[in-house]
Amino acid sequence: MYLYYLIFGYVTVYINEDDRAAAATALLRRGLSAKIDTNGNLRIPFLKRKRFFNALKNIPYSIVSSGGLPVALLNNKHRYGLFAGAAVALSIYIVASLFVWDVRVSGNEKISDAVILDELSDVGFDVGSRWGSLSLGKVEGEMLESSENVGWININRRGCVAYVTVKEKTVYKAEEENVSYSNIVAACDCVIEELTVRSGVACVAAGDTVKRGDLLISGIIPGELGGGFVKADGDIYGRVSEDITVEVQRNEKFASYGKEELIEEKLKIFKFRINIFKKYRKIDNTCVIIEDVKECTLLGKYRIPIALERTYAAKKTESMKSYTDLELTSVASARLAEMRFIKLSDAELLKIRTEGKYTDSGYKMISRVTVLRDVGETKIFG
Amino acid sequence: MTEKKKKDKGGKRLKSIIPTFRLEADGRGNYLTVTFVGVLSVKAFSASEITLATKRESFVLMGKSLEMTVFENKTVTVYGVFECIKFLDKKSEGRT
Repeated sequence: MYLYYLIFGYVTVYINEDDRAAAATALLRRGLSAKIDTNGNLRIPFLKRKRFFNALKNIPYSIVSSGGLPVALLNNKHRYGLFAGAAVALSIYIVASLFVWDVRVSGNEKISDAVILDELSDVGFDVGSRWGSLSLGKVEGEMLESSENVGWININRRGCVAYVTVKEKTVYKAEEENVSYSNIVAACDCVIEELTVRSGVACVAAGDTVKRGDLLISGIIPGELGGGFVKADGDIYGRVSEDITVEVQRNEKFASYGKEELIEEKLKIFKFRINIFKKYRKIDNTCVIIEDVKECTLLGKYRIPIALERTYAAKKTESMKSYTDLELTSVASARLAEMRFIKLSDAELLKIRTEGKYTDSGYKMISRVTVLRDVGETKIFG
Repeated sequence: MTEKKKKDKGGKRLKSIIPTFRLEADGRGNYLTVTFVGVLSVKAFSASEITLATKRESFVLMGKSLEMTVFENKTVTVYGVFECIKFLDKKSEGRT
């Protein structure tokens, strides 16, 4: 009952002890409901006050207090700004709730959220889409048809946020049919260290020196072993010697970038972009364009569909840089280490010898490495 | 041939035994809630005495901290600590 009075308002009137019986009788005869407490206070619903005052017109009473939402609105009816602000806030709330504010993905393990969001965007479901124009069931169906990664999807709406639960597709590869017969040959010059044959006939043994293209495992089975053709398969590890060379010029072209200059600034709300600032100038090929997007979040945790997009231009200038002797060796050493890391990522390093020398134009550094790697290469019968 | 309808005398009897008041006990101590149906007027009303009048009889309620709520269908509920309820029939003497 208190909630009723709070929402619909009330007026409390006081009736003298001598007049309470007459007041109660008047209310009974008019068919009005009210409670008269021990102090003689009568609480009347605000919206029905006129009927009550009419019923009590011959009985003296005094208004003690009034309250509730309608009373508050009546007392503040001249505060136009308050009502205008409330109306604007309500309309913003209603309009904003019509759109998708955020899409949160869960259930994916190998595939990133960005891939799922891109695929959802392709079928028309994205931040900024209107809820009314979407059929979640249809989006789920289209997603299953078009996506290569998603095997099952469920989209739930909670307020203005879409919660997407996915299960990734499990691809079972069928065994490849043995339709092409092949040999395994040497991919480079090496000394055979270890040989494991799974299919075919070995033509070399550990310790043999082979050249590039030599037959290592044959796919032709001799007659005494049953005859026929197979796809040769096995692991062959050989000891390989390689050279890794780096040469650094004493005078090198060096690209530098000037100060970043803001040329454009936009505020993105859902899918709408509002231009805040734009500098009209000719951007030539010597300028580098940098785009920076800052997304807004609530409490650093919840993403909201408002972002600030800034575009900068930085002028690129090329200049010649001269290295000193010490700088030459340092740069060459760093570049050689990087190349070694890339080339030896699939091999086991057995021995390394590095030497460098100054040349007329700069500095040359060579690493002579001996590694153990897989030297087999499949060659289909020609 | 028309069927003869028997007069349902039981229906008329039922009307006369509709209760005109109801009494409920509140969880707090000595407080009671008493409801009266068909109240036409309130003769007296104070925190210690309330007099109600229906078509056939009157009720005098005496006690402490008596509060009254009137409803649209001529129903009155009285809540408080009751000491005495008197039933005053218009035809016979008052019964307590």
